[in-house]
Amino acid sequence: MNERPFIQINDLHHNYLRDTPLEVTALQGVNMEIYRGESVGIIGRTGAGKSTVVQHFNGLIRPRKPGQVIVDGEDLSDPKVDVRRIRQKVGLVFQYPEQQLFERLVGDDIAFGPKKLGMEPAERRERVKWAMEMVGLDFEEFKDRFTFSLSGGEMRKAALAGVLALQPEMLILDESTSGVDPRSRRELLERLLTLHKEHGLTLAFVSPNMEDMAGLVERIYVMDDGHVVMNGTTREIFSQPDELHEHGLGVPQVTEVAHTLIARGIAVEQIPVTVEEGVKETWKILNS
Amino acid sequence: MEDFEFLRHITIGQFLPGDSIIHRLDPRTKLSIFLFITIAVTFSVSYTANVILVLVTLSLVLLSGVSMRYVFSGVKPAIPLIIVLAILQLLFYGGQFVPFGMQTKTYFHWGWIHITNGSVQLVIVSALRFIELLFLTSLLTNTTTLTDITHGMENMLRPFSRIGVPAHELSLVATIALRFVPLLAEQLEIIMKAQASRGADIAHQGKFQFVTTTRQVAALIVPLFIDALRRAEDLILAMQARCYVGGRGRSSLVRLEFAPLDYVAYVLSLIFSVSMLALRNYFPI
Amino acid sequence: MSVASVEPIIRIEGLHFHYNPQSEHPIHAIKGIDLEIYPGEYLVVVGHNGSGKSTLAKNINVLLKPTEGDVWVEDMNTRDPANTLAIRSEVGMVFQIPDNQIVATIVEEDVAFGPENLGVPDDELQERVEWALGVVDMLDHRRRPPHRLSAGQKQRVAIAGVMAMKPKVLILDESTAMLDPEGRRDVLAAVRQLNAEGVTVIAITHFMHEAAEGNRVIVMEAGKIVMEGTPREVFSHVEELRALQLDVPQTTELAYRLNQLDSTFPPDLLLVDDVAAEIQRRVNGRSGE
Repeated sequence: MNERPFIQINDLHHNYLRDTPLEVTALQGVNMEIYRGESVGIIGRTGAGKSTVVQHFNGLIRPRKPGQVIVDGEDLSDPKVDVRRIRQKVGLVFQYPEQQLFERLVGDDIAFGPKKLGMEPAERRERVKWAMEMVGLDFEEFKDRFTFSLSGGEMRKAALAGVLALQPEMLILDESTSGVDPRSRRELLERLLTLHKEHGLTLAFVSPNMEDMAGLVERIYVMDDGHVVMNGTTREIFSQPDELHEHGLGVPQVTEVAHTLIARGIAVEQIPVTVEEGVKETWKILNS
Repeated sequence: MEDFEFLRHITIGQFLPGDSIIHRLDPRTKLSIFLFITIAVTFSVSYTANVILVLVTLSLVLLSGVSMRYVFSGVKPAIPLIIVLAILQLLFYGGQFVPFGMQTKTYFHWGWIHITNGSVQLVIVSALRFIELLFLTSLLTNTTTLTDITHGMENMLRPFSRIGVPAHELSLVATIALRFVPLLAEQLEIIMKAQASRGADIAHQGKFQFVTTTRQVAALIVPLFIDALRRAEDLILAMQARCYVGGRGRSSLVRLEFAPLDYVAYVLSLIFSVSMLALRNYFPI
Repeated sequence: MSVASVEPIIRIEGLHFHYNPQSEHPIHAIKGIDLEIYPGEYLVVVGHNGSGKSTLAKNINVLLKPTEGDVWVEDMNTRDPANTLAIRSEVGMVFQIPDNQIVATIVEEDVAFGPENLGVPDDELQERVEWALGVVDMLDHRRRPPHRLSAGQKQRVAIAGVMAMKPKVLILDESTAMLDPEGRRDVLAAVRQLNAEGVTVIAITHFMHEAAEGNRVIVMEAGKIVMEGTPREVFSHVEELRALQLDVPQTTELAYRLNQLDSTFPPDLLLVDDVAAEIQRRVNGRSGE
């Protein structure tokens, strides 16, 4: 790639509860690059530092020396950087929608971002409509509903719409599928895939769950204990189940089947990461 | 630089392990010291009394080994409020507050504004009392685990359960409140970050945020409240499922015992407090 | 030992439950359930959100009472208030959000909460707490404050807190939903251990691969039981589960799809090793030709 990365992280360190007796080190020299249009996964067990890293992407946490965070060419160590502009470009969706929603009515909440951008009411309305469409919430039906009366799944969509309404260039999802039932999770992942493929949205997806990653991301950073411990394409990472296990992670069952076969001396051409691929590979093996 | 970490600034309720004399005291003793000296503070309005009290509480904190920096860092969020209060007192209370040990002397008068030596005394004494209470609170909560505090409280209230005081229930309420404060603080932090991510003006450049609009505060309080209520609902179910029916008939894992040091500390603090109360009108200023 | 020769420990007969029965729009969450649960079973209840699985669980430990029908726990009817405490001490429940079940500020004191409520004598308390923490492998953390633990560790403490009451039945209401893979692994291991020691387990989950832990699976939909059987039996009905908006474990889906391409391939495999073994068998069989 010739172009510069959309997000560049160099030697990032971070401590929580700094200068108190309870100080805790969250990041110990992290390096990462995310290019425009990519879909990247950041996985690791709880406490690995994943959320801490992504909160640097939109300036919620500012880098401390010697760490460097450069977003679309802007160096976040510079206090003069307009953080609001960064946050429009890089949208962050948190784990639980209740943490993000606050307006009384759904429509107002989704309109919050565009309002802050200074959009006129008519434009705002269009934007909210668009955002709601993107997540599958019917505009007329939901715009005047009470935010906190929505079901869990609906709230999740509203929260996502609220961030999409800023029309960011990059979307970060911080464990947004934790605790979500399989049907809703699948739906969410499909939507994200659409946004990525059809709208060119750069994606960073944080999760401890491997199966979410498989169909969605091209590249994975594995974190543990404040470091990046593994880094490669999805397939490369999933080809190392033992190392992943050491870091408290697993691989999708389909991948595990492949590894078991390899361990028993059967050649597998390409490690499958989804069931689709698993079926194809197995068929090849059974018929070769 | 913006800083969302509230937990850094909440020093109340944070137990800091240590081995000082204070750490080793029975929680009931510490609660009693807290109570006795707080009463003394409440009734002490003179400069002298408060200087004594500041020195006494200060030495106790020093004895406990908790760092001064840590104790004062807990005050930072409250400073805007304190300053506003101080200014109001200074400007408007002169006419109503008779200074202790002195004749009223007006320094400045215009309309409602009444700056007298009385209002000056009020401001200074208020500040001192605030510091004393801060020290006392730190003394109690930084050297005693939360469970010990509540066990101590329950133990002390138990004799009163005969006349209907719900000793265990109250101490459980206290435990739960103390247990969930850090969790709610974390939650607030996340809420602020989530809103900031959508363009909200959460943090200003300065460390002291004097003015935040009601709207902004409401935007934070509503989700926080809902989170707190949800947790409460869940907790109630869990407690019911674990057969909680109130304090009657409960046994206890933890047992408290006094050591000689406790008796000494108890008696000393009682004597000190009683003396401060008895002598409060005899101090010069 | 045939399970049928033993008396069920929990009997649910004609259960209906309505939320807000007096209001204009009561929600009919359970629409007629008959179920018998036997001692020592590991029953898994699956269903998507709103299917009524959690409501069913809460009817067992009297957090909810039936609007129609009866629930009997060890021959105690849940409608009778005199039985409530006894039932709750026999049927323990662990919930979804780890933090919201932990009452005390030190692990061992939280574990003691349940038995303290039951008035277990002081000297026995210590023993129970130690035993319970040992079963979930958290004895080393006994004096730690809960907020310093990982979510998986907190859930294990919650399980210990419930087990310290020595219940015969343990209900897990989506207790692994909020955990990372490691946490989930540890919790499932603890539960497996308890079941091996004779505790009846009722696990409510929407994770299919967890359902494989049980010896019986029931699938709920719209307040009713729509499928029942061993995990293998239930999961082989891939299309039906799909129609119910449920997932099957990847292994079963793989087996099912291979079966569609080659009908001799068994469609109801559940475990990774089983699938791999089957594939290997065929490869070796073929190369033997």
